[in-house]
Amino acid sequence: MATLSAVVMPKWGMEMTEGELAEWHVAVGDQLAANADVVDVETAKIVNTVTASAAGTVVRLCASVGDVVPVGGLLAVVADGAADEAEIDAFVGGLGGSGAAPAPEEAPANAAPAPATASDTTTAPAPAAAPAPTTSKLSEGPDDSDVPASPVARRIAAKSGINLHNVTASGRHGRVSLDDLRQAAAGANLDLQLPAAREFDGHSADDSEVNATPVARRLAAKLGVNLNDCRNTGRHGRVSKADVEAAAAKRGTAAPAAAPASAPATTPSSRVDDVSQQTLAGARKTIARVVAKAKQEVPHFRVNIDVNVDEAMALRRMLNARRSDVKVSLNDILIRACASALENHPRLNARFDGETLEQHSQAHIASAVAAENGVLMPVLRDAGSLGLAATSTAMRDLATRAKTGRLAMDEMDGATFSISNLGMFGIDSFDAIINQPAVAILAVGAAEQRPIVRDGELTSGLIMKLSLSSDHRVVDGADAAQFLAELKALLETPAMMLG
Amino acid sequence: MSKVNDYDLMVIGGGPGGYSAAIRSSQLGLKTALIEKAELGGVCLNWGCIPTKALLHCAELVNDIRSASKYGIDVTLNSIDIALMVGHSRNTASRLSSGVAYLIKKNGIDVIEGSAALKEPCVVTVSGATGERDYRSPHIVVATGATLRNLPDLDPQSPRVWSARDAMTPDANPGSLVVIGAGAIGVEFASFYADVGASVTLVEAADRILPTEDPEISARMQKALKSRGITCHTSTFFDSFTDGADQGVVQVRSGDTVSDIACDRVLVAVGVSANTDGLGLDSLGVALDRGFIQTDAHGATNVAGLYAIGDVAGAPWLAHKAVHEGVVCIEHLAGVDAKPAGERLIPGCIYARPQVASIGLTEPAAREAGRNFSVGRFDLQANGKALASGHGDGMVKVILDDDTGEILGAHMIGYGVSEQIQGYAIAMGAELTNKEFEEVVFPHPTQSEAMHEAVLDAEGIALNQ
Repeated sequence: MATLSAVVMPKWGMEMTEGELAEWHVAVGDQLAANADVVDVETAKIVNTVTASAAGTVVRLCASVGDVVPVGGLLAVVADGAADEAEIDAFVGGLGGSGAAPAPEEAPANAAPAPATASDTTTAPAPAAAPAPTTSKLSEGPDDSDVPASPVARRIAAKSGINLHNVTASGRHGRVSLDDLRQAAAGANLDLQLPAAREFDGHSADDSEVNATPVARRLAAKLGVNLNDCRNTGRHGRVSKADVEAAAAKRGTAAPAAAPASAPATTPSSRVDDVSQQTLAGARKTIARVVAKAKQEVPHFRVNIDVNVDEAMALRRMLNARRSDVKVSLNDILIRACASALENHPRLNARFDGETLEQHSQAHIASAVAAENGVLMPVLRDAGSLGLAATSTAMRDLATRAKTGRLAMDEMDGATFSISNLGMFGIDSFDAIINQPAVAILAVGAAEQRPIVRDGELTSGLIMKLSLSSDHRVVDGADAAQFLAELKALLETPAMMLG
Repeated sequence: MSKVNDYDLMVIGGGPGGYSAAIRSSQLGLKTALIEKAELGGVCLNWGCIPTKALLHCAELVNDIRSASKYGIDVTLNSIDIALMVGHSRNTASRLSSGVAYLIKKNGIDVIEGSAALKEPCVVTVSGATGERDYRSPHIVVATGATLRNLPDLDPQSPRVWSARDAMTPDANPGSLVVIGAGAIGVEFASFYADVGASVTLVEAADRILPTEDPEISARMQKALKSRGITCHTSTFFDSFTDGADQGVVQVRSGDTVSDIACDRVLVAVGVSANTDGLGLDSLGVALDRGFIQTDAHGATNVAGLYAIGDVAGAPWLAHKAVHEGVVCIEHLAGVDAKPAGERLIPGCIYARPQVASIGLTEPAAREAGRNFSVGRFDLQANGKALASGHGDGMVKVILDDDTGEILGAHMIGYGVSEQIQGYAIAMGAELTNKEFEEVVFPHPTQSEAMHEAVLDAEGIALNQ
C-alpha cells in the first residue's frame, strides 16, 4: 500500500488567503522528484510555482486551472507507489479538502427536516432526496456568454445546465468562479457536472516515459544512466545531454530555482468625460490595501534624529576608490548599519500581526524600490551576514529584479525591518507608513551640508535626517530612541560596525 | 551622496548587439537608454554585413548575365556602373538604419547621441553636439563593437590603401586589387571585385584560405576562386607596400621567397580590434584580454554594474552572436533564466560565390576533441535541383558522433547555403540524433536534400551517390 501525500495551496506571506491556479506542470501519472514544479499559482501579488514536498507519482489533480483555492486547500495527491482509486478517495476524504470529487454531503433534508409551514403562500421547493433534476431555476435566463466567468466555471456551468446570470460572482475581477457555482448549486440542491479525475495509468520503473531529448536518451543508454536520475533543465522540462552528463559525473542535484514571477496585469481604464477612471488592480491594488490597513490599524509614532555622515561618506569614497568591482552607496552603508543596530535591538527587528509578536535574530531588511506599477519592498535576507560589498551587489540585483517583476517569494516577503530612502530626490525628511507586519520603518532624507555647532564653534557637516516610524503596540518610545541613537553612532563612527 | 538614476540600464553602441539588448531591457520593464555616436545599426547595418550583401547581390546578377547564353538567353553585359551598385548598397543600409530607429522608438528607449566615456562605475559621460552630460545607471552595457585592423606598414591616408569602408564605397572599379587576409571578409571582397571585373589576388598567412573553416571547404573554395581567375597565395606573409604613381607594389614573402605584386588598390582584412578607445576602461580597471573586454558567461565584467557584449567582448565577431550575448546579458541581470550565449551553437556564413556556411566542429577539431565520429559528404553534382539551376559546384559535409548520433558539425559550400545552415542549427540545438534527422522529409527537388543525404552518407546509406 502506497503512502499518499498532499500538495496543498501554500501560504506565501501573511496577506495570502487564496490562490488561483494558472498552469499545471504535471499530469496524473507523472513521476516527480522532491521539489519538482507542480503548478503555477497566481495571487494578488505574484505568480509562483507550488512544488512537491515529497517524491512520487501524481495520482490525482484535485483542482483545475482557473480555480481559486484557499490556503491549505488540496491541489494534488502524490503517491510513492501504486495506489488505487479507493485509497486516494479515502485519503482525500480524510483531508476534508476541496477535491475534484468532494465527499458527498448528507442531504440537508435528512440532517434537518424542514418543518412544514403553512403560513407562506408560496411553498419552498422541497429539499430533494432523489437525484438532482437536470434543469432547475438556475438554468433560466438570457444568453450568459457576456457574464464574466473563469473558463472552468463557464464549462462546468454549461454542462450542469446553469445560466451564469443566476450565480453571484465573487471571483477575481468580479468573475464567476467554480466556488460560486458550487454555492449556487448547493443553494438550488443541484449536482455540478464536475469532470472526472484523469485515470491513473500506472507507471513503471523504466525511464522510457521520461521526457528527454533524443541525444540525451541515447547518451544515457550508452552511459548506463537512468533518466529518472537526471535533472530536466532542457526546454519544456526535457532531460538534455548536459543533464545526463551531469548525472554521469555524479554531481549533486540542487533544487530547481524558484520560478520567476510574471509581470502584474495592466490596469484597465475607461475615459469618462475628462476623467480617467481606473479600477485598481494587481500590485497597485495590493499597495492601496496594505498601506490603508497599516495606517488604520497601526498606532504609528515617529522619532527623528540628525546624523552627520561625513565619516560614512569618507568610508564610501575610500572603498569605491580602491575597488572597482563594487560601487557602495550611502544607502548600502545605511542598510549595513541598520543590520548591526538591529542585532542589539531585537524589539525593532520583529513582525506583529495583531496577536503574535515574532522577534528575529536575523535582520531581513526591506527597501522601497520605485517600480512602474508602484513601490515594491524587496527583502535583503539576513542583512547582518553580508559585508558592505555583498550588500551593495545584492541591493543592485534586488532593485533591478523588483523592476522586472522577477523576485522570488522569499525576496518579497518576510521583512523584519524596512527602509524607505527619498534622499536622492532631495527630500529633507518625511514620515513613512509601516510595512506590515514588520514593526518599524526608517525614512531617510537627503544628506546635505548644514551648519553644526561643535565645541561651541559654528562649522558645517553633511547631515542626514532619519525618521523612524514604529508600531506602538509592541514598540515603545524608549526602544525606538535607543535604536536610533545606536544607528547614529554607527553611521558617525562607521568603524564601530566592525566591532 | 545618493542621486537619482537617470536610467535603469544604458547601452553604449547601437549595433545589432546593443540595440537588441536595449529592446530586451525595455521589454522587461527597465527604463533604458541607448548611446550612439554615429548611425543606429552599427557597422553591421551601415558598414558591414548588410551593405556588402547588397554589393554581392549585384555581383551575382553580373555573373548570371554573363552565363545566360549557356541557357539560350542572348544578353550582352554592356557596362557596370559601380556607383549605382554602391547607391543600392547605401540605400539598403540607410533604410535598415531608420528601421532600427523605429524599433527603438516603438520600445520607448531614449537614444542619446554622442560619444560615451565611463567616468566611474555606474556613471557615463556622453559628449554630443549639445555638450557633455553625466548619466547615472546601475547597469551599463558596453556594445561598441570592433574595427578591422590595419597593418603598421600601410598608410591609411594613401588612396591606394583601402579600408573595408573604402572597399564598400568605391568610385570606380580598381583594375587590380590585392586583399591581405583570406578570412570571411577578405574572400567576400575578393569575390565581389572579381565578378565586377577586377584582377584579384588573395594573400593569406595560414596554409589555406578560410583557415577557421573545415579544410575540405577551404580547398573547395580555393579551387572555385582559382577557376574564377582569383590568385590565392597561402602561407604567404605581407612584407611591405610601396606606393607608386601608376600602381602600388605589395611585397610578400613565402618561406624564403620574396615576390612583388603590382596593384591599383590594397585591402587589409586580417582581423579586428576592439573599439575601446576613449571609453575610459583603463581608469576603471576593466580586465581585457588582447584588447577585448573580459566577461563572465552572462556578460558581466570585473567592474560593478558594467557589462560587455558582442565584438568588443571577443570572438567570434558575428552580429548574431552579439544579439544573443546582448539578450542573455539583459535577461540574466533582470532575473530571467537564460542559457549563456557561449553554450549556444553559432553558425557562420560567407557570402562569396560560392557561399560557405558552417556550424559546430570541423573534422580536425572533432579529432582533437577525441570524439569517435564518422564523416558524411554529399556533392551537389548529384543534386538535381542544384544541377538544374546551374549551381552544381558545392558540397555538404557532416561530422556525426558515433556514440550518440549527435551531429557535431556541418559544413556547406555552394549556392545559397547560408539560407540552409539553420536546418542543422535547429537539429543540433534540439539535440537530434542522425536518426531523427533522417526521419525528416526534405522536399524534392531542393538543394537541401543534400543535407539529408550527407547525414545518410555518414552511415554509408546515402541513396543518391
